[in-house]
Amino acid sequence: MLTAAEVSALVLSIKAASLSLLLILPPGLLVGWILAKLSFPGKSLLNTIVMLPMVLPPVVSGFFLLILLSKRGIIGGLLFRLFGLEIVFSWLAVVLAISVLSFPLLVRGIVTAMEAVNPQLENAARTLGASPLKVFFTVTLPLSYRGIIGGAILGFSRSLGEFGATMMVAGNIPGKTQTLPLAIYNFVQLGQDVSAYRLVFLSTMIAFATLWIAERLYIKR
Amino acid sequence: MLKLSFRKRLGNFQLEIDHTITEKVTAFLGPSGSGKSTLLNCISGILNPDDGELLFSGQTLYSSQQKKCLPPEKRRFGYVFQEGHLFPHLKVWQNISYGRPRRLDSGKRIDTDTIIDILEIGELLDRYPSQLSGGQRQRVAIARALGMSPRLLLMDEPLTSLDAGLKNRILPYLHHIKQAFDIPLLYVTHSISEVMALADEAFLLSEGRITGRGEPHQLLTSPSALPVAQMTGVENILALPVVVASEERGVTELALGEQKLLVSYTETEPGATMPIAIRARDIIVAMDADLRMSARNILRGTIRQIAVQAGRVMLSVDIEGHLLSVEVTSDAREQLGLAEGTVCYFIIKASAINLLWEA
Repeated sequence: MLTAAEVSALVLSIKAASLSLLLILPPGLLVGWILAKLSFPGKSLLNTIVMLPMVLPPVVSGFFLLILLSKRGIIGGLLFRLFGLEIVFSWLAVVLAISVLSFPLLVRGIVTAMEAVNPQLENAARTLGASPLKVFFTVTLPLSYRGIIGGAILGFSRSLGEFGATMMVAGNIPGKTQTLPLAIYNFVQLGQDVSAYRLVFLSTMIAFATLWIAERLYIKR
Repeated sequence: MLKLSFRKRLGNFQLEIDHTITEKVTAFLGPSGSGKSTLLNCISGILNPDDGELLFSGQTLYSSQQKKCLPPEKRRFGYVFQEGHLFPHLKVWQNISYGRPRRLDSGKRIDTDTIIDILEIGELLDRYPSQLSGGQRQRVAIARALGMSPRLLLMDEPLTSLDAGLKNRILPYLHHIKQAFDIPLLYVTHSISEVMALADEAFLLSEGRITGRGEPHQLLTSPSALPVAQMTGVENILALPVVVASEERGVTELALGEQKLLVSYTETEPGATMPIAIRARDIIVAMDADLRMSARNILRGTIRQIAVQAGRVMLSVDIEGHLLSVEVTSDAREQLGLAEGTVCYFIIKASAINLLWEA
């Protein structure tokens, strides 16, 4: 079966992707709701900023993250002074990198799903005495949850496949920051083709399964 | 009770209103695009006016001067939408109880069972909206709005999406509601008969402005109602005194000056005034009166004016001092040699005359 190195890459990937999803879901719902339901000046600018990591080369996103998170960076510096935390080249950096990269996919799914909810239903709820928060939880969310799950799954698969940004901020440390794609790259570099094949196969299966589930959730609407 | 004094601009359209509503059932009548929905949206708080003020029983709902604006959830106005807009993910009973107020003394609270009884939806409670017919859906929508024990009930053409048969079946429910609950009702529609059937007071709305207000029967038979009536597809509205109502013959005779107009029998008393509507295209022009035919109404009149609009020839006809619009084809106009001042006969089937009247 799988070697220890392969297992650790697989587990690390899934753990990081899951944690990242938990981390980005609440802000994703908020931003998605804002983009889907509100109109305000600067909306397209916000949309562009949120979607930027989707079109930016991952290495470039990773570079920005590296600047922000390093000990001399704004965020990294603050965390180091407050908690003595060093994020760069840590497991946390993996989570942050894949979070930034999968956030646009998640938000896109949420926006599409929430835009499909008839605003008149939400207005009806308001006239029935529901506060905007209650409307969100009793009308908007239940009527868009399929699309939201679809978006979450797509974001999750994107996280599993992230390479460039992770490499920039987290490096490629076996057992610590080496995710599936990084491990595959490593095995190919080292000529360990069998290991590479096994992980490629696993990656493909996971990607296939998640996409398929997401697809079914979209179709069932 | 409800003071409306505000302006709202939406694109090229502007709604401007400055009126106070006092009656129990008030109807706003106007063609589509006249601002009916905008009006209700402003009252409910879904939309905010550009400036002005809205007061309900002394409470400020909106005031541009005081910079005050009560959000819809704080107004407690029930809103029945044209398409119902039931929550598709909730069962009927969940829809009805969605807006049930938690903090409200029982005296002011409307009992849900009463609503369910009156609207006869007891058997639908466990269904989803997608499993309901159009008429059922609209009844549930009304029940949902009542379920919140509203202080005011707003209805946006609640019957428009239904066919004629269903309409006549739901109208009695609205009557029940009017009688059973002490809630003022604000109803917008483009149907004259709905206004006649329900309203204590009617407003005519045209291009964002109120062009008339009054007791429905009087208002809708006055000249000011004509443009609105025409836009809703009825050109002629008359209020005529009843001469005799004969159940045996199946007709009611109305006096049109010296002449008589027969309409389908309705229980009424001689001397009562009956508002009726006749479409211009339902009136036939004849040059002679001595035709043997089934149509009961052969009226003598004079053509006062001929107007051609969008390919239609509209005759303005004087019958005993009443002006009626009559539509003919340009072919007929030529063949008969119709001109201003021509005296001719106008034939109307009794069944083409709609009673704008509710017993």
